[in-house]
Amino acid sequence: MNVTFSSSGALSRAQYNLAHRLESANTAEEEDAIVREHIRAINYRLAHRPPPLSSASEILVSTLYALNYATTPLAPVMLDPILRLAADVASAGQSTKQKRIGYLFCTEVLPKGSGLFLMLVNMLRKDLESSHPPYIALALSFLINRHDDLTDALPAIQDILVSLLKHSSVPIRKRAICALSTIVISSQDGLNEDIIAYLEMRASPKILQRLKLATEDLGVRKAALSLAAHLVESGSLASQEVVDAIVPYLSDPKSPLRHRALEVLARLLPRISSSSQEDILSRNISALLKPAKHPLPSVIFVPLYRCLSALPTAMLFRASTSVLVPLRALLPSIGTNPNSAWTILTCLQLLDATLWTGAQTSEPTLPRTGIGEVLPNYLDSFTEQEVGKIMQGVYSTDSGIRHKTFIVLRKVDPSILDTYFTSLIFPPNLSSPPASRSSTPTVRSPRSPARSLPDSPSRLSGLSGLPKSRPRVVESSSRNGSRAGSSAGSVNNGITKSLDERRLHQALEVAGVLEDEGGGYAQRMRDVLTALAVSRSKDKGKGKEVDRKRVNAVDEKLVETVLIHLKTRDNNFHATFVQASLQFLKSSHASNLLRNGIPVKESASSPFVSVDDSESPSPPSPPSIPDESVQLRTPDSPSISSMPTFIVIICAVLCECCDSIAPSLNGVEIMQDLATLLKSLTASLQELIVLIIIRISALLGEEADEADQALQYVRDVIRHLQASSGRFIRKRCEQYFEWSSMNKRTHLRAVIEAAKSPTLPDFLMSLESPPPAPAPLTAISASRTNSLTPILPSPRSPSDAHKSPSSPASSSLPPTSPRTTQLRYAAYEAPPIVPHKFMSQSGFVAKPASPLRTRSSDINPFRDDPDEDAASHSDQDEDMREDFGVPSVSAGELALVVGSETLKKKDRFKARSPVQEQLFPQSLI
Amino acid sequence: MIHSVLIFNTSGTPRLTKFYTPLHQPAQPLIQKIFSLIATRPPGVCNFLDAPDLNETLRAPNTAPGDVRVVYRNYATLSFVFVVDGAESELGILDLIQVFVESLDRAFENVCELDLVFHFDEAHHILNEVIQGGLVLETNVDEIATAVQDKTRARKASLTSSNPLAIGGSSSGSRNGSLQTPMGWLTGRLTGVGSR
Repeated sequence: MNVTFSSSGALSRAQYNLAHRLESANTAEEEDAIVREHIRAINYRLAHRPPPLSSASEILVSTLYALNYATTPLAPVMLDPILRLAADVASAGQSTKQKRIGYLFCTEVLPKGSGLFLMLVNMLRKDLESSHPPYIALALSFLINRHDDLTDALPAIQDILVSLLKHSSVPIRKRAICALSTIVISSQDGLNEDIIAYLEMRASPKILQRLKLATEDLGVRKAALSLAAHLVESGSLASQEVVDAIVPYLSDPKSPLRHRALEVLARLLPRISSSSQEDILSRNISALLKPAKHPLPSVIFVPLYRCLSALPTAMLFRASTSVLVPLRALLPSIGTNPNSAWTILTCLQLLDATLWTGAQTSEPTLPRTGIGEVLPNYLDSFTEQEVGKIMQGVYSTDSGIRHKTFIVLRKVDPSILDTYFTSLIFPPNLSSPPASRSSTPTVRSPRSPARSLPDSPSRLSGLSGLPKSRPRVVESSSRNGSRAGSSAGSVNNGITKSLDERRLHQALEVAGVLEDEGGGYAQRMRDVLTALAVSRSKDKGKGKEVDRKRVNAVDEKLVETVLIHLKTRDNNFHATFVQASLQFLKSSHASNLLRNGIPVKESASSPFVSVDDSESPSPPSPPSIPDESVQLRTPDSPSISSMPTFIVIICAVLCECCDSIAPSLNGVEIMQDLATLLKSLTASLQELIVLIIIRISALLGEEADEADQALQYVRDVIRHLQASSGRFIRKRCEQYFEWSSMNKRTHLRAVIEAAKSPTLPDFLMSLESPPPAPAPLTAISASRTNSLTPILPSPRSPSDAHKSPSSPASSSLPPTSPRTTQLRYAAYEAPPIVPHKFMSQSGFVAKPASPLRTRSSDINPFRDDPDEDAASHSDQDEDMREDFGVPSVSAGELALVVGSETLKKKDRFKARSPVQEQLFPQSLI
Repeated sequence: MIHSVLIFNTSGTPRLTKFYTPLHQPAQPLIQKIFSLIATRPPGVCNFLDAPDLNETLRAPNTAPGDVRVVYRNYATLSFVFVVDGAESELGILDLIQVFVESLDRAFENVCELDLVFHFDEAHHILNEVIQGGLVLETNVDEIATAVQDKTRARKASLTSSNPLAIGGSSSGSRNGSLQTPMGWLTGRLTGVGSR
């Protein structure tokens, strides 16, 4: 940061120094160290020389800034003193600025479920009832941002909140509506239904009143619009009443509320009668669709077309109003402004294709809309040139625009997109599709590249020409490639390969849009990967200078595309995808063996085949070769070993989804199938397969028989692999034997639960550093536990903290208590008697710990290590055991105890080297 | 609904992060992932992108899968990124980014990255005037500027009354207005502000 203090605008030297150090840090570890050092210094200062409230806000600002840089979570205890300071500043700040910074710090950093919320509830109530509008606004902002943590406080403030809807200050009214909206709409978990019903009942008439009041502030009416839509959906307001209130907003072309009003109208249109719908269409919406002197602002396009999509298509035909006029106005900029392309495609995505292609206007019926009447006159449609312009999106370098264009194409006619997919997989310069394609008609309808397009009206000719041409990106790059190739053949090869791969990536994007079913998507993915393998093998066969590593490389982009697509789909999709992919593995493996003239054995439990090798373990009984595999015995179909991307995808998907789709999987069969593949794969893929076998073995229930023949076969294969492989694979095999036994299965589930995420890399990391084995279950609890259910609680302590809706700083803190009612409305209620953990068994009851003791230990600047915490708690427990029977602790004794603890911790802190501090940052969680 | 608002500089350092929905994973990897999404965008593409891989982390329980979108706009060395769901209009959010930037510009008088470093509480304050709890609160730049100025004025007045030695209260948030006067320096020394 090359800026001097005087020109930086920093509030103080301290802030400047902190910012300078953080900006100059080279690594995340350095940044973390600076942040921790800063917080320790602040804690030390708070413990020894507490600052006045007037200067506390500067501490909070600098700490908040520093926390923005923390890359690893901080121990909650480290932030406790600063949080207490923030709560003090928020509640007792002498100025609006101080209170605002206190509130801001609490909003961003206070962990979910913190006990400090109890203190803040009183402050919140006091500020909401204040006569000073800025204080009310601050309290409302805090309520809006942390309403999920304040559900206990809602009964105490709900009446105040409703009364604020009529406050004289506009910002207060806006925030009050916003607070109601977030509480009623966005409450994440089980807010009391009675509270919501009460709030909706009290707020509904006031919201409607605000909407109808022409003199009301625009911002307030805008806030009221969103809440009104929800109140209609919850039944608190009549839909027609709200629609009548918002329709006038549409007629004013200068109204800034038109955009929001259209959004709300789109939600409410399906709830009103068809006569009202027709009325609104003819009076209000049609007016927006007609050519006007001033074109519509593009920001209202999407809400306007959402309204149109909420109306029946037949109604739009009957209205005889062209829905394309606004889009035509935007069309000239489609080539120069990608945002216009996105907007047009989004609008077309919302419309029924018959409204703009002109394809079926002459048809007597519209099957999709279920209309059994002769439609009126011909409706407007795009010209061929216009359609062609829109469909240029297929060649866009922007994947989002390509995706939207594919969706629009699919809406027009899925067969067009299907043909385009085929043209991407089998471009003219490549050979005809492998025999497997044409010989697998049972899976889905055959897709031949020579397939003719369906008969389309002339306006669709812009679409019909589409699949025949290759993407512009490929063409232009090919030209570059050929030019480069004239000077350097190897470069040309590389570029061609990359272009082929880019084309295949696009094919996978098309597959994602075309297929709604996992099996179909898996088939298309198989087609893409087969084309990739064929393309690579042909390059290799032609003697091109192709890097061998690249030929066998995993295409990470394809893997990523598939995994991201699967994330957007449900469990049924995943299950059918996995089943179809495993089926392909089986058939491909079998055909590969037969092609090489290797006799195969058959298995009763699995249709998989294995090599008839006397040295290798053989499956328990002969399998039948799947019919499809026989058809796959063609010279063109690549072996599964030449499709590493496929293996990686299926392994990654199995690892991530096997728990959610467990009922549809046969774990033993999958393990056996994967084990059969092992011999034909490279070492890196063998490692992957062994890992997945370990992962899937966690699915096996207690009932899985250790002596099962199939499992025995898997063990034999892995033992054989262990004997014949290098050190690295041997280690994985050892891990399999270590983790797959029945008595370790519970521990393996704990390992899976301990992983940061269900992904393969995280599973491997967790396997490499497993959590301690869980205690053995008692007979009763074990019998009640489902074999597939993880036994250990989910170790989500850091991530639970991240659930608080705030800045990253807040996510460093785990919840301090479960979500239970914490607020004690009875003032000065006697503290509950908590049995001491050491004495509960013997029937003794411990007195509650002194708040002074707690505070003095909490604000200790050196208590950032859980081990130290544990040790200090242990010390405290020792002290408390000695204290039993003593009615009270004197101040002097307390000071001695606190002082000795501090000294002990200082010694420990000094003993802990900076290297240790950096090596084990996670231990501070 | 708006799930989050982020400001990055060109090297990916987050200058302001605000999440309006509960996160289901640590924030830092998520922030890096969002930056990588926009950093890898070639020039000449649109300002919106679907982000299905953010779904699990940011999606509210009642939203459809594949709904999360990223809307971003670059201004000089800063990228303003809004993560929204399908209920929001992308062009509307783009306009909102413009409103936010104009509001920052008015408050800081030619806003630059340093203002966000040294006055990021002010940046949060301005953002709170535009968005609250993931809902758009105000889109009129004049209204926002007035609200921020009103609060700054009220703050100055209350600070002056509580700290008579301070001339003009604390800095207004502007780089040019934050140069310390000798009296301010003296006040700092007396009250311990600024000393370490």
